[in-house]
Amino acid sequence: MEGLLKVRDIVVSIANNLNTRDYMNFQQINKIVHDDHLNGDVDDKYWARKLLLMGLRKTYDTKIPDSHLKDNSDNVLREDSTEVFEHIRTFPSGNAKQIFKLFYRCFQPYCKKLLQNNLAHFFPDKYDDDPVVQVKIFNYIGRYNKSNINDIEEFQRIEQNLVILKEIFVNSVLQEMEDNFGVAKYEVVSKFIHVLLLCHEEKNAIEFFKSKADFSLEMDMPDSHFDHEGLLQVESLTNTLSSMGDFLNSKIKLVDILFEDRYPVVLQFMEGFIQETVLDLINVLFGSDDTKLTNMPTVYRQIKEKLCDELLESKNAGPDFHKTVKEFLDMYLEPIIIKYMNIQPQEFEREVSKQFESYRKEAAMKEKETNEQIYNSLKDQSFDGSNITDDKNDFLSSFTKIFKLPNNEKQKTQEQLQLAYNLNLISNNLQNIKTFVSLDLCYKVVQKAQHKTDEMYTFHEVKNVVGTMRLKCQEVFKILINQLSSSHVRPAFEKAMTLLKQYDSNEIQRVELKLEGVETQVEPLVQFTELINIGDIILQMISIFYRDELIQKNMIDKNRDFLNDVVQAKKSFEIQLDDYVAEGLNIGINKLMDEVEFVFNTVQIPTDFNPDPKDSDFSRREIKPTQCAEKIVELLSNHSFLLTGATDKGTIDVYQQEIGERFFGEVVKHIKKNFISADGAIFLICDLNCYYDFVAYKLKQKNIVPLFAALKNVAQLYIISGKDSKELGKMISDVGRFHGIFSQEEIYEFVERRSDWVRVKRDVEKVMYGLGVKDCTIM
Amino acid sequence: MITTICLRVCFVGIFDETRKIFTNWVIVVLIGDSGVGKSNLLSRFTTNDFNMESKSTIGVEFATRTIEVEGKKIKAQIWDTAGQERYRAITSAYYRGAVGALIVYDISKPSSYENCNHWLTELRENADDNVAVGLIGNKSDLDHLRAVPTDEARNFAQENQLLFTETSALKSENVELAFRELITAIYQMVSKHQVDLGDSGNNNAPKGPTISLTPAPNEHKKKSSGNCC
Repeated sequence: MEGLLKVRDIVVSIANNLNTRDYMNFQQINKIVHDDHLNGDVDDKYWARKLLLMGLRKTYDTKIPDSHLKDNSDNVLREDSTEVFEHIRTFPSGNAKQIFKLFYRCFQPYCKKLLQNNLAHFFPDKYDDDPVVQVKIFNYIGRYNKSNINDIEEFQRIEQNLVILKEIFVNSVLQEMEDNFGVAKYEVVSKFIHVLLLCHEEKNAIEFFKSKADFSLEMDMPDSHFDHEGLLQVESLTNTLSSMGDFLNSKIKLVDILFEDRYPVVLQFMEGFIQETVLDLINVLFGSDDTKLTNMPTVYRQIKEKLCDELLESKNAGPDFHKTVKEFLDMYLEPIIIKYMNIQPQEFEREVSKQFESYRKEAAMKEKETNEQIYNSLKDQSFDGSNITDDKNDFLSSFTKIFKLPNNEKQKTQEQLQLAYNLNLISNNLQNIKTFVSLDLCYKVVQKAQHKTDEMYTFHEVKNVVGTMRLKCQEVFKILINQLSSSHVRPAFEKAMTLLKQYDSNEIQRVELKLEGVETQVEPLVQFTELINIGDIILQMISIFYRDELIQKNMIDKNRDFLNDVVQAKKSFEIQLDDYVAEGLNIGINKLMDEVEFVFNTVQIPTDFNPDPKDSDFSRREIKPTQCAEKIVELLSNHSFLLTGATDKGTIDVYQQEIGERFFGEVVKHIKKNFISADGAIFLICDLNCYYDFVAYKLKQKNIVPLFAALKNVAQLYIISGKDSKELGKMISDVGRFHGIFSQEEIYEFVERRSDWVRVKRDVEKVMYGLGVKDCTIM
Repeated sequence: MITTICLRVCFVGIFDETRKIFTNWVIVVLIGDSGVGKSNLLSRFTTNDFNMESKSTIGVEFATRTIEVEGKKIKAQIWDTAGQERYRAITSAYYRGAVGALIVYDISKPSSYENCNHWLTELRENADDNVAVGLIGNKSDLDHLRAVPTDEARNFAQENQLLFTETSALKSENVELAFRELITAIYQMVSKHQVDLGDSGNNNAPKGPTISLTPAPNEHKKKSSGNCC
């Protein structure tokens, strides 16, 4: 045995497995062990190992500046068990034993008690009333005890007993907390919470708080926030949320008192509250009824206001408290928000198409009624007019009297009635063209879309749903356009167009039976203009909606999404309306030109331009536009400016130019229908001047003016005396004179309308072709 | 204001026309170079309008105004012609039936004055020999740009037995006067010689007496009742 102790490695191995007390004794076993084996570095290593196990750090400073050691060298022990670990965190190499001594003195007595299971009066008297210090000492004992790990048995016994002691301690702390909480001594409770936290008993601390913050125990919630018609009772919801908010605020305050900012509790508590109570509320609110989800924006706004914005600041949660709560809310409500958004477009479409459909039905019914009225009224008139019946309302008597009529007369009456009915119907419908599109309804639908978009926009700050929000809002816009177009505007324009095509003013004027109060002289263009006007307003509404709801709210990126189908839908709607306008105007212009032709044919008398020279009245005739020309200009004036204010300048220009051009064609045709004498030419000039003035100074369409200037020049072909037939021939060949508007052939056709053409023809042709046909002789 | 107006009235051959003066239209043509202001003279006289941006006349424009001369209503019909018309056949058509004509030039544009000779010649060639003619120097408001001296024009008028007035359609100066004098001259000539219609026939020489309607400032005042000078 003696021999073994001479072997250094064996001695060192043994020493390393000895606790403090045994090691010290072992050192004393003999001189070699004491002086050689367990001295110097080896000894220092032993103590250093212990310190390292306690969590101290070794330093290699050669100097020993540590004040504790100095104190120690002065034999003044200032360290006590509550602070030593705070003050000494490192030890210098070579001085481990000295440092360990300090800890040993502090904690070995406690360990001894634990080892002996001597737990009564564990702490010195001075610490009895201070659980914070006690907790600290518990923690330090645990730390110190780690240095004993090389004597595993002792180490474990101490550890186990320490755990038991701590448990007893924690239980008594909890008991104290309950008692003090019961009497609202929150400051005291707070101190105990602090103790628990020091004990690493956070779970117990939080559990304690939770047991004091159970919403279901404190509050009663109404079963439903909807009335019997399924409408959300906002006030009731607000009340519920307000009481939730009050509850939360009281708990936020409590947490700040109990935990201050020592341990984060509020956020966890808030998250739990949202997960359980708020989601529960949502489930109860909406249940399985998806239609109720429409109220989600309102509910969300209320929740955000009451359960986030109106929450108090929390010291425990820190400055980002509200932001974090909002994130929690958004995260947990996200699935419901998405679900809400997903059903919005379909819901919008369903509602809107229902509205359009009911409008359509109502309009159809009204039309049917009106038609019946027209028929009855006409029928009464016709029988009344034929003195068939004295009592208009007595259907039976009139019915029987029909049979008393001679057959052909009866038939004639019926035919006449049918015709009158048809034409009056068209006439009446034309007057009502503007009612085909209900601006009011369109406005309501656009407003509805706007409301839907605004509601969805409630969630524009919920990061994860913004993408869905954009898509769904775009979808609503597309549905809006599609519905407006296909369910309302398109059918209206198509119907209007059909009516315009059917309209024949001459026919209408010929009808003998007319409805009282119904103007048979319907001006189709006037009516159609109203429709254009309405179309224009609808487009404007769409544009404003697009700008305010989609662009301004960032629902669509104008620069990036120009190929987006939303933009496409908007464009194609605009194009569609433009097309209708163009087509309708074209029909209207056709009708207008029919009228122009009608006036030319009926009002212009042959002697207007070819007066009888023997007529003594002729020389007294004032040189002014003929009655026909005045009527024509009036007609044109009435129709050319209908669009002013109703649509854009481009469309108006196209429309007026079209009228101008077509009218020019009519005038050319008209001149070629008349015979014009040199005396009558003055009146033709007067008429053409009048048309020119209308085009140049009223219509103000520059492109058209040259056409009418050329007509003025044409008129001069007629004022020339027949004696000047050669110069007439020269003029026809003078192409520049007509500025390329008319070819030589056309001019020739005009000249043919001279009343003295037969006489001047030969000379004219001679000049034109060098020789006349009659100049040719067969050789 | 220089308002010496001489009217050459020749009765020969116009009686058939002039007889109708009270019931029919008195036709007056406005002739002269393009841009001298014929259309504005006309609009000033008939509607009291002036158009700064008036375009050149295409073909011929008509306007009427009834004025009272010595208690009689005369319906004047004025033909405003295009100054740039090149076809004699057309201009001659304008002169047909005219009993009066105003040859207009621009006092700031010598060429327009020089062309008056041409216009007068054309008028004499095409119109009835007895047409009453007035020479109008228009744009008198442009006195600072004057290129045609008043005396020179007046002399020319006297030599050719024309009425003469300088006017400004822009400032509405003498326009009414110029038309009125021409129409008055026509009226007086006709009314004075109406009785002669039957017997005097075609005997008179083409160039008749000249009537000074309004005296020149240096002459003593006479009533504008048609004195020979």
